[in-house]
Amino acid sequence: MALPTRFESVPIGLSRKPKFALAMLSATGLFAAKLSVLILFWQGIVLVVHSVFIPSPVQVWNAFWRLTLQGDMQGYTLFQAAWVSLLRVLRGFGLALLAGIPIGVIFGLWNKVYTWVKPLVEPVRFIPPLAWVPLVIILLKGENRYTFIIWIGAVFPILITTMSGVNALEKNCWEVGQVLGASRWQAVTKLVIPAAAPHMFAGARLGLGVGWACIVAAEMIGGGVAGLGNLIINYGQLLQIDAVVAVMIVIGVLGYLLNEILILAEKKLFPWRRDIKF
Amino acid sequence: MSKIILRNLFKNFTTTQGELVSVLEGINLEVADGEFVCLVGKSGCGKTTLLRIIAGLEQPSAGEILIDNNLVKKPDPLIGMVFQEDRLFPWRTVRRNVEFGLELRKMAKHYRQQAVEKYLRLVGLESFADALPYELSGGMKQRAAIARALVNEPDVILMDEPFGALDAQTRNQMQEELLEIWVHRSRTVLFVTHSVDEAVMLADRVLVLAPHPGRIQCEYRLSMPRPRDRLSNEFIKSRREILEALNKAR
Amino acid sequence: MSIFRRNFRVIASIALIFVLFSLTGCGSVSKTPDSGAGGKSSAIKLRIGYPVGSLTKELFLQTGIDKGIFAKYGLEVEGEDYSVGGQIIQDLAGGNLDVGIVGPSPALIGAAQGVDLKIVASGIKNYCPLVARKGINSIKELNGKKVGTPGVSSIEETMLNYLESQQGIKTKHVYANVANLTEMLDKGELDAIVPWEPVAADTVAKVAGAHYLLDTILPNAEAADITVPGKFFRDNPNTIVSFLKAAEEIRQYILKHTDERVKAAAQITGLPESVIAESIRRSHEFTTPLQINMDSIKLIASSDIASGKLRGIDQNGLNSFLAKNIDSALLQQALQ
Repeated sequence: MALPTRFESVPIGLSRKPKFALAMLSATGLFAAKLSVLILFWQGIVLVVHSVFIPSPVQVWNAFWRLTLQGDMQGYTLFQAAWVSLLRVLRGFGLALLAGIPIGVIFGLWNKVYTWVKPLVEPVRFIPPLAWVPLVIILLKGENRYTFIIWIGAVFPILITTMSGVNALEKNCWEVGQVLGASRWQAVTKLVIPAAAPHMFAGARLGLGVGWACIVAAEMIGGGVAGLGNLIINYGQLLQIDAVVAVMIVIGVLGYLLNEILILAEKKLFPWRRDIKF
Repeated sequence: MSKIILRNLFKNFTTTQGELVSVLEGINLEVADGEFVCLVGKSGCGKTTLLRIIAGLEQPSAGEILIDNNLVKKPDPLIGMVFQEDRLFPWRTVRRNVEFGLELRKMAKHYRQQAVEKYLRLVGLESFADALPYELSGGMKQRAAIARALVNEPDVILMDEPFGALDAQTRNQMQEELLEIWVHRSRTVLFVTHSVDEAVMLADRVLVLAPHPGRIQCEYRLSMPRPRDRLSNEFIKSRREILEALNKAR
Repeated sequence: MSIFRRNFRVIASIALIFVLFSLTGCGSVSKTPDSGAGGKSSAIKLRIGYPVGSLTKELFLQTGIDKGIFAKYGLEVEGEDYSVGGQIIQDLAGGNLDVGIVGPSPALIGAAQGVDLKIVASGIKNYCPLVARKGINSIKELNGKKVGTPGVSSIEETMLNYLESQQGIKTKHVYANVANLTEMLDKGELDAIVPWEPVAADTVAKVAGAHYLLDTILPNAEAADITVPGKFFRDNPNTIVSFLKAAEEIRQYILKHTDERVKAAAQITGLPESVIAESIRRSHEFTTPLQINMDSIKLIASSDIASGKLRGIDQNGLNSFLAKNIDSALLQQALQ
């Protein structure tokens, strides 16, 4: 006779299709309301302060379209600038992943190695990417300069979170592996890495955020013909603050979208982690 | 021939203050092939430590463990262990959790599939094969953990209060299911619990451990036929005897 | 409760440390002006901004200090380095500077954006040299190549735009800190640069094969003008006249004792005397008359309107715009 097994039902996936559209609609409405409040507040400040350096929402909107359609003084459009910056960030970020994850795993597995290099590595972590600019200008050339600045910003969050993720594999899980006869290599590939993967991903997300935030610092180096950071610096010098603010908003929104995409990927990749929120 | 033999087992710990504490002192035990033995004792009597030493997760300070006349030095996939917590891997589905041991031993895929199906059916989780652990109830998680330990077809199964965290109703149900599995497969089981009721329900033999330092105080053989009736006089009598022994053990 | 108390103690002690620090900080800050004022209490202090590495400090200001010319007119000067003109305009607007030695291009851009300022005299002319790397021997060859300037707001950038329109070429403009332009030309990242002096002379001396294509893109054009905040212009015209008198005297002195001032500047900058002498020979910096070359300013403004740097002004309104922001009345007064 089969075992008497009657289980309580498990709530997997509620039916919520019709509610979904409604929720989207009300979320969009709420967002529009919040945005209007922000813009009204902004316009209010413009009216009260009345400084040539505080552009109004309309001016910024116009600057945005001018940059999008006509481009900057050299004819590079906002889209081209964003694309160039994005590629720069992705290059630095990709190299940061290639370095940060293996090194993080090694540090996590052999804490002694980390203890050894800690006095060398940790101070470097606290050098702001901007501080590297003069050195980078002299030692590197062309695009490598941007890559390095973004790399140095992104690599540490990735490395540190990977390391702590590897460390975080519970002794409990480790023992199960031992009892079931896992070799050291198997324990690393089948237990440590999968358990640390969400940490690595969270680190990557953090790293991409920092890397993206470094784009202006990186492009302050100059030497490139296009880029969002270039736009900020150039229009800042020309005192065209409306354009500066437009590009700032573009940088912010693009960074936000990148992060949201990664969060979606994270939820898809690690359905067992229900605590991913931001 | 005895399946498990413990000879003069000692275990000491050094506390952070540098004090030497004796946890187990002179444990001698023989468990027959196919026997179901329960270890009962108050918390801190070293019963979990004893089980972990037999599993090879910890080393004894002195003495030796023999299983099938082979010295146990490190964990062996043919000694199954079920922990007090389910310890399922949260990133693996139930199926892939159960499959884990076979994956480590690089078993052929079709064999793995068959074995996993068989044990999932045995513990009644076949319809939850593709669920993730967080989607299961406590009892279901522990069933999955048992299936994971069984899939390697171990001769010896060590169980460390596996039902300790479950509610009374689920617990009774799990005990019945465990007995069925045990009868089906006729394996040697060493089962640690602090519940005398559970021990009387399950065991061929109950060992009472005394604390500080941990040692075997006395043992009871239970010959009641299974399934056992908790309300029978014999059950109640055995329960009272063992409880009294447990209370005296110090 | 105890946790709160402990936290409170930690916070209180941190706060105390901050207070102590700020007190000592205040102390040291307030001491400097006191001791400074002790010497010459009547001197008017002027904060002067100029492009870094442009010899403004080493040649112009230092001559005035060394020879007591500023003191003679009751002035005390304090120099501030800037890497690009736009920043000088921002600080003039914000009241952090009294005088800017700054290109007409950033000054007019600022004025068009509503910054209240006045251009009162010429500072430097002939200051936008074109230096190319080895292998590029004519301006036409720069078509499609990368040319570096110190920034989009700079007069050098305007001059590059002007050069392109004159020669019918188009280059890729690359902006970098002027000190890094040499580096980038050396690494082959740039094909030519429009820096200021003595960066150009230094580049030619340092980078193998680098050479001047032009001593300056538009001869005798304004490159940096003496620019003051409008409020300062209206409230303290006499101070500005004093400063202009001093400037004229310094110019005369450098003209007569060029070799002596080259030596002094070489000592301060660490650059070879030959580099500084060469840069003065080619650009005549600080030795040209203080009168503003209005024709060049019109050219510059027109070019900036065409390129989009100068917004909000059109060619029709240009004359009145310039008249409003350029005032040489104080200069005439100073030169009498």
